[in-house]
Amino acid sequence: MLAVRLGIRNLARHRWRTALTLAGIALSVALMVWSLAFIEGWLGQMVRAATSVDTGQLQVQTAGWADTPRPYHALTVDADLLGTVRAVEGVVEVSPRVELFGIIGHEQRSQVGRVVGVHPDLETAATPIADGIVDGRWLADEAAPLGAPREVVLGESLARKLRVGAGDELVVFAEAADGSLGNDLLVVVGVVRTGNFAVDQQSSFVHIDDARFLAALEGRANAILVRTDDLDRASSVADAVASALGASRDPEGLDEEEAVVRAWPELLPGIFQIITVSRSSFASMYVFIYLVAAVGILNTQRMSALERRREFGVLVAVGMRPRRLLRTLLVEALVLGGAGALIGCGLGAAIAGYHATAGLNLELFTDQTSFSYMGVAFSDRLYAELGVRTVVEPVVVMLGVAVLSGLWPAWTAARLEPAPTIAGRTT
Amino acid sequence: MTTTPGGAPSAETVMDDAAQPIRVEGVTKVFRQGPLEVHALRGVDLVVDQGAFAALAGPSGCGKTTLLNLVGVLDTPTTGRVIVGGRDVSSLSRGEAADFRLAHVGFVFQAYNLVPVLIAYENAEFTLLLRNRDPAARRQIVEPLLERVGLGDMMDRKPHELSGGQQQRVAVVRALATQPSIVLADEPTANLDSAASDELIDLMLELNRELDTTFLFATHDRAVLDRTPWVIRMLDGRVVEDGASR
Ligand SMILES: Nc1ncnc2c1ncn2[C@@H]1O[C@H](COP(=O)(O)OP(=O)(O)OP(=O)(O)O)[C@@H](O)[C@H]1O
Ligand SMILES: [Mg+2]
Repeated sequence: MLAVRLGIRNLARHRWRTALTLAGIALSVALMVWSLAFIEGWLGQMVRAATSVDTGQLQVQTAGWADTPRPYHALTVDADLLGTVRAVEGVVEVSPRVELFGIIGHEQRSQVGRVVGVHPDLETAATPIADGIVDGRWLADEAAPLGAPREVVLGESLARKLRVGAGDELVVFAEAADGSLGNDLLVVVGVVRTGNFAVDQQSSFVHIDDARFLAALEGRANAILVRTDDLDRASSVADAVASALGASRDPEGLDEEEAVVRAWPELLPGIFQIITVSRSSFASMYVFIYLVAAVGILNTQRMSALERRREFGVLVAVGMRPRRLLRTLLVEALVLGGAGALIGCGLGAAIAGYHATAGLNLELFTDQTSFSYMGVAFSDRLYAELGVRTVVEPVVVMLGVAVLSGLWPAWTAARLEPAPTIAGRTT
Repeated sequence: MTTTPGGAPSAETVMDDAAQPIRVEGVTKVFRQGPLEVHALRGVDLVVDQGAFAALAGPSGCGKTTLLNLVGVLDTPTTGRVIVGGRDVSSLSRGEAADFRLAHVGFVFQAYNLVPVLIAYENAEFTLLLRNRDPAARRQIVEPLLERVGLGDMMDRKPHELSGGQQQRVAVVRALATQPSIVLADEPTANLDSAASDELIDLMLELNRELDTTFLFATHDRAVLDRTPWVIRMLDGRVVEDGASR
């Protein structure tokens, strides 16, 4: 293709100018790829931390629970229902939960807290909570036999506030589904640290059958937590679960007992909003970076076009249509932008790829030793996430920027009058 | 559709006289430079016959380039009509004019004819490329022509690796490759020494005879005029002597 041939050779003709412009474009794109990978890594880490421990990526609930979490808004849960949900493509694990709010006391101290009833084995598969045991052990698989004390695992901060550890006894009062006040004696078997403040500061975990007994919720659960394999697919998996159950995706306008399937953006609207806001505020940074690259391309193409006026005059004189000249010069700008973008993409992906496995040590930038945002603690290493979008988007945008910046010089060139240009009459 | 100021037939009309590829009728050209009006052509009538080899001569500023540009559809007359290859080209759009030039007119300019980043062969085939001819067809036309003008072993050279005369010969091949009805050349020898200048004129004369292509060019050069069978003398925007009889 003539345009590509002309483009490459004209760029090769001014090695230094081309090299400098290419370097500018490549650095812009590399910076874009790298920072996008970190932003995605950071946002992903935040959502994963929030969803993996506390909510799962989606939940099956009743419409009433979605509106107000009271114990009597509960679903009847049996093996069939769990099997149906688990069979949906994209669902990895399911864990039914009874969630109660009440008062947990030890000697003179008491705290308002959440009592979460779980199947210890299902919960271990669905969330990493059991991995966070820092004292004692996780709940036994079977509920306590009649007369034996019921087991509880406490969030670390809650345990500290109550000044209890493994082996200590607690009293719990919680609202039951029938409106009565359930109470029970529990023995602390473990303390857990998850990094999620909602869990560590407020939650206690008991066997689901013990919670059902406490809340008079025989055979029922307030929510079925669902773990999926891919955060980005949570909403589509939620759709599939909803259709498998004949449930709705939106609690609006449903009867209280009807089942509804909600994905993490609905379960954690605050976090979802943070993500949207972060992405759009980083977008303004992109605009600035690309503006710098655009000025580079514009300058190069403008200088090149000015130097080659007489050449363009001859080309149009011998019969090249002005439109074709315009197209040719746009392709030249595309060649320049494309070459720079590919170099930059390779560079950015290489650096981001390194940081995706090695992580970036945040302690380099601050002497703080723990990092948290929106109630979610981060590890001291931030891992970049190199997805297809992270790599392709900056390149595609740069190609667009190249065409746009090439437009004005190309347009001016295509409007040259051949006769005075060849005579050297134009200024 | 376009109509000339005189209410003459439209641009699409084919004139019956195809034996006269160039007809200039009552043409004036006025350039405006701010408040100033420059009368570059003050009423020119000219007919050039098929297969002619004609030179425009005259002092600097007499209007040679202006007239060549009108005939080459690089510019439009202020009044009058220009008919090339039987078609009124007095008022074509920019795109139409480019297409017309590509189809009917070959150009050789004084200097900087060639695209610096393209080799001689690529420059020579450029007009055929614009006409979207396939590579084999282009090669079939361009290679023999380059051989013919004595550049058979320099086809891979960039313009800056060729002498001025060699560059002009590449431009001649580019002009002839599309088999245009006319070839226009504005001072094609002005940047050449006398030997190279003689060679170029001889070459153009030979090609004129071999291909029966009409050549019209402008020159100051006495030596060139001496070898030219038909000299059209201009003075101050008018044709003062049409040496067709010579
Ligand atoms: N685009 C233009 N704008 C203003 N004046 C012009 C323009 N083109 C030509 N002229 C004027 O028109 C007149 C004729 O110019 P033209 O270039 O046709 O002369 P010429 O015979 O080719 O001269 P030379 O032998 O020096 O090339 C000159 O006075 C010139 O200054
Ligand atoms: Mg001139």
